Amino acid sequence: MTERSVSIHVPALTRVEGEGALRLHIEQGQIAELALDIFEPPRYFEKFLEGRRYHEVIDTVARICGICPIAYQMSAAQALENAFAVQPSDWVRDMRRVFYCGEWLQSHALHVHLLAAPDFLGFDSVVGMAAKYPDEVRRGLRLQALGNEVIRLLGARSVHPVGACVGGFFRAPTEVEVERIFEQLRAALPDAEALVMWAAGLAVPDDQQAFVSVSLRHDSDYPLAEGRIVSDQGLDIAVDEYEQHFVEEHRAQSTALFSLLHGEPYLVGPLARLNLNLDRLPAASRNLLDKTGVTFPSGNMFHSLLARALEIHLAIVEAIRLLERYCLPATPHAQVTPQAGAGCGATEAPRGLLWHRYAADGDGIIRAARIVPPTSQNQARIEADLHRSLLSFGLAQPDDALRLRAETVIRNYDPCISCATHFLKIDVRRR
Amino acid sequence: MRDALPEDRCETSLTRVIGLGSPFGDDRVGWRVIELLRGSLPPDIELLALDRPGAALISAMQDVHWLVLVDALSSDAQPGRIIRLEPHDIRNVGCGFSSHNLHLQQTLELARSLDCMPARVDVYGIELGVVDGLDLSQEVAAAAHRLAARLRRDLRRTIEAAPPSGT
Repeated sequence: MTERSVSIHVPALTRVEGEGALRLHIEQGQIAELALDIFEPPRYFEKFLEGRRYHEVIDTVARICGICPIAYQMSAAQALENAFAVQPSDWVRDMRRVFYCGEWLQSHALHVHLLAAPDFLGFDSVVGMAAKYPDEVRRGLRLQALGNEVIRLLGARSVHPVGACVGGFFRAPTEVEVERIFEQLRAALPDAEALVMWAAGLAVPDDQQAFVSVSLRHDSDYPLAEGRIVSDQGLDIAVDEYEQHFVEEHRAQSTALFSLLHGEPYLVGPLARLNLNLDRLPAASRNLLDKTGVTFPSGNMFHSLLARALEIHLAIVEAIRLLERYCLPATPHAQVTPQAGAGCGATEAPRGLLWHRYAADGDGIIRAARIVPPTSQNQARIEADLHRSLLSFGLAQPDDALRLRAETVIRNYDPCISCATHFLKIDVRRR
Repeated sequence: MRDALPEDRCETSLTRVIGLGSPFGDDRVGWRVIELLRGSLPPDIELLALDRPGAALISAMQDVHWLVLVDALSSDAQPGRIIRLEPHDIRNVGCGFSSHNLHLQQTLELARSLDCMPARVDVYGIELGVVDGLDLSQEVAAAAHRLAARLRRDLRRTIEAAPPSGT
């Protein structure tokens, strides 16, 4: 037991998106205070959307995040289609999966190689890592570039893509365009296989924790753009039942909301998805996972990196499967006729479950919007993990080691703080 | 697969001008310079507009011998002032790698680590005024014309003095 009093303040977390900070105060060998502060300027997207026409939502929500715009577009499209009783065609559903595969590919490749791996290989950043592991960094950049190509195929551009609409896509890619990406995907499989084995071989701390995993679950496929919401504690609900089980609360130190399931923190993201959907992996990805010798479901949060790597492989396998049978559709989108009502949508953003709800009037004008991003769902879990991980690591460790372990724990969730910030609704009363 | 990052660096004489920017106000100036250069340079000089430094910029450095980067700059100078920087002059405000992007300095450092820095890199910064709305301010729009004229002259002169050995 240490007798010292330690106060660690990490004023600005690096290698995460957005602005966050960590306060850790240790008194007499006990954690007296531990808080993840998020002070990203508040975002007002839900209010921006009120009064706008439904078709503006897709392009507006894409601006919430520069790295997972497709997730925002897909959850919004699904919610609005549910509100207007629109049934997208099988072609649209397949192409949404392909579109999403591109986003997982680019987001995961960036996180695994450029942001997380330096922690496990003993480097401050990818610049140092690149000098010793140039092939691995090049592989990450190649996979990320491929993800962007897949996004461009359906979204016209990789940043804030503009190809999606309520009901489907504005334009169907030509068979020649599809063939070009298809060949690139096939050629990238060896990279993805090597990545999974490499990720499994990284020396990560062995720290088993008890936590609740939450993700979508689809009838037959690994969850991406649709499914029911399930947990490993028996939760199995339709997307529109979300608000009956999950509650968000404000905390003073953060402009993001803390989300709880039946009052408890929970995990969303690659590890939760994999823990809950092992039987939905394509055979090639499942075989590869078995070859690593790492057992899932896993309670080791540091297996998130391996889960992300496996999802890169899965995204390539899945995009190949769907593009192999590509045919031009009669129309790339369903007809949409607005009607008064509300609808919910949930998809699996790279960082986890992303839930939207919209209410619209009969003219298709948005009257209310609610967006629950994955990072705010993970925030309570990150704090619980930090508490647990730092105790397990040993509070007697030197300050720099404690700081690095804390940062590593946070980065492991790939938090996107920009996405997660909201602002308190203010009720002004005057006398 | 079209290999975005070939294993071996190949010797090349390719010249590429890249404008970095966004659609917003004076931050658009890098793109504007590229627009002004289109159609007015020898066809073997490639022009590219990118929305951010980062992985895409590293890919765009592949096989390039001479890279010209144009970006908006924020300091205390007069809006529209053009300065030429060496890659090692660039310092970023803020810190670290985010999941959204690498800053220009970090991107150049990473390119150097991966041994894919072009033999010659010229960075031009144009001091921005307002980043609001979608239009360039008058001073910065004029600076874009000045820089485009200068690049047109410099690129032509250098390439005519040492014609490409074949790309």
